[in-house]
Amino acid sequence: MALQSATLAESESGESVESRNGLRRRLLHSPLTLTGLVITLIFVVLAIIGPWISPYDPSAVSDAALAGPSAAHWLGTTQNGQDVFSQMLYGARASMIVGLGAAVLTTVLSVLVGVTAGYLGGIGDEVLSLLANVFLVLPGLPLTIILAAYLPHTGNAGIILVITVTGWAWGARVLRAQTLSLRKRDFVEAARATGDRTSRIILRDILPNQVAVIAAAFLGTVTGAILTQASLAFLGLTDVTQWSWGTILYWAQVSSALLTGSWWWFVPAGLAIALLGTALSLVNFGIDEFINPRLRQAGIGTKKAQRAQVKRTRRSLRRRARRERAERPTRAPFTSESTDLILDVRGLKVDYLSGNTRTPAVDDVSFALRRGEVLGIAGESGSGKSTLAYAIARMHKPPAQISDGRIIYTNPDGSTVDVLGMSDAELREFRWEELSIVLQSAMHALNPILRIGVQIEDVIIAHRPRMSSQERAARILELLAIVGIPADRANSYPHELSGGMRQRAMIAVGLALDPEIIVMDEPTTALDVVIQRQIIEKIVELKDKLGFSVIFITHDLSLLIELSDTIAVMYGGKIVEKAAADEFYRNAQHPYSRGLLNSFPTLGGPKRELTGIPGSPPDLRRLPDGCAFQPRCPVAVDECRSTMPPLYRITSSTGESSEAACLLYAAAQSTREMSEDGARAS
Amino acid sequence: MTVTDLVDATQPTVGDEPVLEAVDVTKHFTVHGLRVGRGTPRVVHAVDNVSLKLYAGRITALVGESGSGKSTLARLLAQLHPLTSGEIRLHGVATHATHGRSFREYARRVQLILQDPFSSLNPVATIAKTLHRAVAIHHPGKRRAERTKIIDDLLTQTNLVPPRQFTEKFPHELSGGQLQRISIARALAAGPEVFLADEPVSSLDVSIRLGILNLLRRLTEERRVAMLYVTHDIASARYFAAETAVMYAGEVIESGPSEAVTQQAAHPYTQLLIASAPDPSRTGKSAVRDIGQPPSLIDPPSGCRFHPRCPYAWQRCSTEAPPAFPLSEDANHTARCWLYSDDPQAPEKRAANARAIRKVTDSEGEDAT
Repeated sequence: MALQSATLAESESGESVESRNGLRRRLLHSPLTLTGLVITLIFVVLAIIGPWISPYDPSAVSDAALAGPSAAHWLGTTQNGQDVFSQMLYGARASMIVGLGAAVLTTVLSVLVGVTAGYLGGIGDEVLSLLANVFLVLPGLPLTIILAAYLPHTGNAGIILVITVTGWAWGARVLRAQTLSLRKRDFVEAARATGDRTSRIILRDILPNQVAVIAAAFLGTVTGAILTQASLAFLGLTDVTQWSWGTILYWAQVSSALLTGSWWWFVPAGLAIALLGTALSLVNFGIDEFINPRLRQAGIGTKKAQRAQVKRTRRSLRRRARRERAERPTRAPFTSESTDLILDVRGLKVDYLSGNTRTPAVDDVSFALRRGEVLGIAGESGSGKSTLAYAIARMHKPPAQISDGRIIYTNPDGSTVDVLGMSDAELREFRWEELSIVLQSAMHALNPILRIGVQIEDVIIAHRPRMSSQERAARILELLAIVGIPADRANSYPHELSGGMRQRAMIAVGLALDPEIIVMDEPTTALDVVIQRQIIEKIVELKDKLGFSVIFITHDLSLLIELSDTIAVMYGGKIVEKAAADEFYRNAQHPYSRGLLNSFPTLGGPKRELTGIPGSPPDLRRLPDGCAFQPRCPVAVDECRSTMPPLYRITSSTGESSEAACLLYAAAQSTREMSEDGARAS
Repeated sequence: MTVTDLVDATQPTVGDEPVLEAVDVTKHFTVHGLRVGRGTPRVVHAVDNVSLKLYAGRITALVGESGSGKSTLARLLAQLHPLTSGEIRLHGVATHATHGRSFREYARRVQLILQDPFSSLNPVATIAKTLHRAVAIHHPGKRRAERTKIIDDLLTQTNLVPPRQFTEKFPHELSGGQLQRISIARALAAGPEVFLADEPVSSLDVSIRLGILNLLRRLTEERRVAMLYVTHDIASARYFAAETAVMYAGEVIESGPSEAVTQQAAHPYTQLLIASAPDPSRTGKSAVRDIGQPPSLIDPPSGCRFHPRCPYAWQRCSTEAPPAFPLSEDANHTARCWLYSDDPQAPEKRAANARAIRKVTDSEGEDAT
């Protein structure tokens, strides 16, 4: 039933031939599901046509008693000379009727109870849940046996009833829980706000999102019901004159078929049950991929990338000498003339593997981070900025894969090391000792069941095993004081802290080992502006005091301009502009940067006209030809559609220099022509 | 004086009646499982005594941080939750419609647009299906072909052209901006008189926010609908709304024309909000210092709810809740703050406040030179 409704839903949605082909392709791509489907279909067909094609009457006795398989009797005969093959064919029908019948009834009952209870809530929910819970604690098998013993001559209907009564509660509970969570989702609220009826919301919004669960429960029940029916029949609790696989086994057992060695009598029935059960399970595993439109497209790239990750040849490198960390020498504050590189990223390329395609999320990105510098990386969704953050710490997970480039880290003693060539042990030491990461969602990045103090301590224990517990306790208090968390909060759990406090705790964890570089990926995006201001001021204060460098990644350009020394703007996986923050704000060069700056409403000064950028950010899987920004660019020319511009160095009239990847700056003479063209275009 | 005065004072420049109006609206949510002794169940004071008016053809911004009650107020106006007390008036008539036919009739006239377009569309339905539903509710009896025509028209109005390129897609195949336009198209299907947009651009990319806001503004003006723009971004309120109301801890603490509220912010909380917003045009260091964080709404502070954080608070602030004081001649701009009363302590505190604000402006000037 559930399967049918899923296919119906597809055909209704008017999916064209293309998606039919897609279905076939997906099926071919998952041989296990296909196998399961084919076997199940064969059994269904046999169940339907079995009685017509069976060579004998299954109950008709003959002289050929206990004969092995032969041309006359493909699967041999029983003690009474009955044809086993015919019995199997008749039995298939009985098993199928019970399996499907019980599954349909069970599913209908559990959907009705589960969804009603979950959606309506209140007293109705409590009564229905209580009922389901009572049925859940009833011991299933004994009840089945007792009920079956009272209903021996009702045939299949009785067995279906028994299985339904003992089986519906589990599904109802699962569906109730699902409905409860779906009911709170925005699209259900949106449907309510549109003025839709409750019944339609349940039918159109709640149920279709549960098809995968319902289908899985349905198929599971089919398997379970077939097994239960076989067991009951085998125990002789059904009408033993009615042929089913269980009855065959019953007769084989009472006639000691095992002792007489007549394997053909019981093996086919046992095999059929096992085969059908396996086939249904295979279909069950694959079903989610076919029902969920989002998963339909998800590739099988993950495994490939995982393999590639393992195979990745390690570049030979000098082993980094284990060193006792000395006090960091005090340094002069960062200035724009500084050349003291700490991290040098060159030509970094990160791909997402999907099937046979590689999607570049970070494409040939190079930048240098100097000691004490705040490098701001700005970008919209899909610009590759978060992938970059993870790749720098090598925390990217398959299907992402670093396919090219170097990340050169300069140790405080002046030696250099390529992060991409580090062994796992070296990498563990590098992360947090030298470079730590502060992520966007502090609630998810902190372990909810550990106290804040303990989480900071864990990091210290992992990296400073010889530190005494007193020293650790002192360090934790020091760290909490640094980020401005009251000392008594060390014993709080993450959920007891406010969002701002949690983000401070994350920064404290990041600072625990006094790293040289902190990568911050949207650390304040989930926070309110007032708290954001507090956190940003704290970061700047700490940076000035402790002298670390920061890579700050966010979509909020105005925040970045205030905070950073240098700004890099990413678009479509590439850095399209790099400049000192002041220069960038006053004199942005790339048309995308200018568009971004013109998208922000300002609070101070007179209102200016906001122009924004037409269109939306590109999908990395389908980047346009040439410059990725060209379809949205107000000054694009034909050449932009074919040429991918590299970063050009630009020196402004004030002597400040910046870099922009735009053909406007390809050469002095062509620049003039293009800006004229651009002026005409806009 | 009650809060109603605050809004009554905000005389509309367009001389007509409000389309939708909240009058002294209060919403308390009961906290389950938390009872103090045998006392009454504890409640969250999500919205307390708030009045707000929405006028045809105009955008009113409701600004506040998370937990200030701004989204709850939008949902109360959409009648998705029953009120604890107060009234919601549609064209001056008190309406109570949380269920059944009356709610559907109400929803036809007042439509809600939610923040996250990725989760506000059913993930397993195509865009066409979602829109067909909305159109079928509000244009009953139309045949499928007619409904399809209406849908094409809606998508064209929200700049999704050609419409056929979008209708057969699933939500995950479209970008956030396109999905938000589809949410707006769905809301338009009803032909509503009021739009309640709850953070319609917060989850979208910066470069496409402007397009959505301009679309909302165009619809407001062309269709003469009343728009409530709920946001945490006070700078966008300045650009897109004629009037702005600022909420703190469940109360409206300042309201008036957007330019006045953002440029001559009167309430210390509004000042804090503005000083905290990132703004590259302001290079000086902010002189407005913040202490603490928003209060618990289960047990809100006595008197003015901002007083524990307010650098100018005095005795009176912690005991008496301030009414709305008019700040301009025509009383368009009002703030619920004792600084603007005739209390003997007020002038001195007001001067201290003015000095702090001037310091910010001065340092800006110095840095710029």
